[in-house]
Amino acid sequence: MSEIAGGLPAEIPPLAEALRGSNKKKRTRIERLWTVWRRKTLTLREGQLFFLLAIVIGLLSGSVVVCFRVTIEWVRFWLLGPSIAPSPLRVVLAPTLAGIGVALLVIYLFKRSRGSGVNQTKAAVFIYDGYVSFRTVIGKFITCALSIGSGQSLGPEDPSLQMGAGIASVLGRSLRLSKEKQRLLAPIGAAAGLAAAFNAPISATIFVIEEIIGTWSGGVLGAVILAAVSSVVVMREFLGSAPMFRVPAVVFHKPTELIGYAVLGCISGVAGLAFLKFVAYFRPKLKKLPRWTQFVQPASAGLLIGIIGIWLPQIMGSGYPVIDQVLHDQFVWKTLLLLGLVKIVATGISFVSGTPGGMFAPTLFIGAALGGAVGGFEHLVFHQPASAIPEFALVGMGTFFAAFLRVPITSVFMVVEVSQHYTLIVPTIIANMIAYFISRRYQKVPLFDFLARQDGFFLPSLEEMREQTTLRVEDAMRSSAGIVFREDNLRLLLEQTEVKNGAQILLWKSDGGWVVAAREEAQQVALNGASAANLSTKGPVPQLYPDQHLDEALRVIGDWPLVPVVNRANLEKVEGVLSLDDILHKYRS
Amino acid sequence: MLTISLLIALILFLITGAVARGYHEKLHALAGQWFQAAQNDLNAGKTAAALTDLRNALAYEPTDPRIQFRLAQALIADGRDDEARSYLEGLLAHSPSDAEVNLELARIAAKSGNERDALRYYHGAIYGVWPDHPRQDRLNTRLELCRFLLARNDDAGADGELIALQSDLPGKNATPLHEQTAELFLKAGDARRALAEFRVVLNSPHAPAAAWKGAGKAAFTLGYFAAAEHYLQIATRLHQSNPEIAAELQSSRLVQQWDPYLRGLTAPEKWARTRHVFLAATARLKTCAKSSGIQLSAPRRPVQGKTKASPNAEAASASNGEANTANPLDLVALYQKARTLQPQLADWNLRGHPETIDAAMNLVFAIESATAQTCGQPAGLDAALLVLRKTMQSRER
Repeated sequence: MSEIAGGLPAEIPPLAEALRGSNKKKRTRIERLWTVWRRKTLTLREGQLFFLLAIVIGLLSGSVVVCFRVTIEWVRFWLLGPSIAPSPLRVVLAPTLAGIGVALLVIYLFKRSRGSGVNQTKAAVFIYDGYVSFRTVIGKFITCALSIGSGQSLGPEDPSLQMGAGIASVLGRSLRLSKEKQRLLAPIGAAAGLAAAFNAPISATIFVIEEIIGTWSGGVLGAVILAAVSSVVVMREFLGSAPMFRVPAVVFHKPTELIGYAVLGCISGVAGLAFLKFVAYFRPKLKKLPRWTQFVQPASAGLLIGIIGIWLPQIMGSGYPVIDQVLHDQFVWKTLLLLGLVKIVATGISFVSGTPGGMFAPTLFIGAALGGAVGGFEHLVFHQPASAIPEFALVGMGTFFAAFLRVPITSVFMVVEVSQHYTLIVPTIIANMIAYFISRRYQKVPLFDFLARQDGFFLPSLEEMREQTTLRVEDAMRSSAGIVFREDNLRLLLEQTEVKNGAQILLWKSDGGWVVAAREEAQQVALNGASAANLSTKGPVPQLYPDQHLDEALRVIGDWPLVPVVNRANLEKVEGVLSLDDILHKYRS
Repeated sequence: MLTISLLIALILFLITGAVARGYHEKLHALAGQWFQAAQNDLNAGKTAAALTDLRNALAYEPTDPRIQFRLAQALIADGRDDEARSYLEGLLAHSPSDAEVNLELARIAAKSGNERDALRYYHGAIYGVWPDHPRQDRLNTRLELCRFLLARNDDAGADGELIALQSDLPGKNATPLHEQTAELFLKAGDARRALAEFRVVLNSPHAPAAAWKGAGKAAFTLGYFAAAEHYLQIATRLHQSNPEIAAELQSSRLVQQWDPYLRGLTAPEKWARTRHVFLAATARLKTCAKSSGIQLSAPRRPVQGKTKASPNAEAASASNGEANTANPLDLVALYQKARTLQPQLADWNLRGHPETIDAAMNLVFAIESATAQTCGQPAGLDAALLVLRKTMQSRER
């Protein structure tokens, strides 16, 4: 190399320069191509960013929920000790002292930690443009860990839901997303939080759709599922993939057993109703008490629960290990009945006192206990060969959930998902629906709605929204007689002696499509025997179908005086006609 | 900003990992402590305390099959079978081939009288996976199943299981297993296989005394009276005797002494034996009729009222599936037949008509059977003749 270089010294500079120039050109072209490719493929549009963000929200929410659950357990170890039946002194002191701490934290530091996480998330969606403060997330984490860990009869799911919503909101604000997207992020985070808390992505997704968003919008649904799944992946990575409850081999032998499950549905419906009335009555009463009482309300609730806990330690905390015992037939039916009723009182006391925490886990506990009691009683009375407590407890969880929280679809999926058992789906559906209808019949306003109203929010009731009658085109359309004609058969117009059907007519053109024309002009053309081609028409007119929503028709109708309503299977077959007046008339009636 | 979010997620992920690891270690340690405490309580016989400890352990390691199984066992020990079954069924759903779980479920089903489930679980245990000593555990489980079947009077089922077990029995150093198998064969009514197993036991250097008794009973049932006498004699010598054994021993001796069908007898010996047992049966008939107030020589007439049988006779006849009492007319008829047949038992007649021995013996068996029904179970030679009758009937079958 050195010889060559030494032998051709004069030629090297221009060659090197040429080479450098060529390399520079190549580099520029590559850079340009890279930039174009990067713009086309790596630059995210807002929609794509939204999905990516949903995954990030899921990962973060999952991690936070794992930390939250671990913290609850650590608090429990410290305050109540490692035994599931702690000493009476600890049982009384732990929730009482923790109650004082929680009250101080809630009053002075984390004001928004009190109350239902579901409602606060709904408020974020419908009132605050998706805003949930980071302080609320921290407040929920600390106060709920303290209250649940100390034995207050509350659960970690509702706070997890709100923490997820809070994380999503913080991320949305940091990325300066549009208000519309920020509003959507809160429920996505809520789904992620709930999914991680329950280890149940499907139930969390359905709950968020059923209770927070209220609609099955395709874009949001995808993001909600992504967030829920990614948070569950994180949760399973750190806390294991076992289902929330280990259910023994449950069986559904014969259809006559459904009678027992129907009875369970009735009992759960009544019990859920009683629980709802308890909360609805006492919560505003306690809120109206002088302000200083708010300092002692959580501690008083803790003291009461501690006193109950001396005899029935099972009612303390979220109660997951006890649900496991119920599912494994560890209690006789009388004990289960007692546990179910006392847990209603204990949870009611904890919740109405303003102690932060959720009601999902206690609801499952009460449902399992009452279900087990019904199963045990049935076993006793009808002398079944094997105890039916596990089966009834499992169904009971969903049944009470449906009656109390009023989320019938979630309740069915939740039973299947948290137990990973499909066997009892039929009894679950039947019992849940009975319980749901009983609760709805005697308590018109659902739990989350009246809680929101007690807090001064008038959030949309999604249960009412679901039941609103949808007006359709067929409800407003009128007959097409004397209005609709074929272009090649215009003579029929002459048979119309009176012009009572309006000044416009609709014509079906020979080459397909609808046009609108003035009636008088059309009559004149028909009288002269001239072709319809001589008519001055306006078209093509859009068409509607009988099953379309009326608000959709309102958008379609625009300035058209008349729109044909045609059969979906035969576009030439006219079912009726619709005008703006018809729509308005229907809405007014 | 998205990059920062991802970075935060990564950091949070690492923190969560550390927190979760610490949490799991704590849970594992707590579960271990409670489990150990439960073991100590169980060893000290404190079942209630052990149950609480195991529930604590399970709260920290809810998926640990070892804790669940121990809890189920503790619940069974506390008499709470339904509660135990729930845990065991959960374990079985995750590990259907777990033999120990199957066995516990089989015991619960057996206790509650659920034969179908018990059989299913016992078979699950026999063909399942055992952790430590699979062969021994399988044999023990099958023995337990056989006992269960025998308790349910399913002798045929028990016999089938025992035959399967017999083929798995180890050849050496398994005397107790062979002895148990033999005893169960005997209870299942399979005396032939019982005797074979007892013989295996007796061939071992230190054969237990009970095996001699069992072998004797099996041989006696099969009609091997010489062998039965030999085994029962040794059993009596080894203090294994009881009234039943003594009676069987006596019957074995008497059958050998007076059975006219015994191989190797000369014709005069056969005749002499036939005459002897015939006279004994006739004497029994007379005694029985006298004690029952039946006139054997009186002309035939219908008898008013019933003749009372002893409770033993009733039990015996009931066990044979016959009428509670023999008709008094039968005794009279039998007596008439005996009187007719007796002259034909002279040597000169028997020499020319050897079939008379069969007729005489049939009459003897009929008399012993009828008198047993009317007057109760006999003793001595009459009892031996009944045994001989039974043996001959079973040989004919």
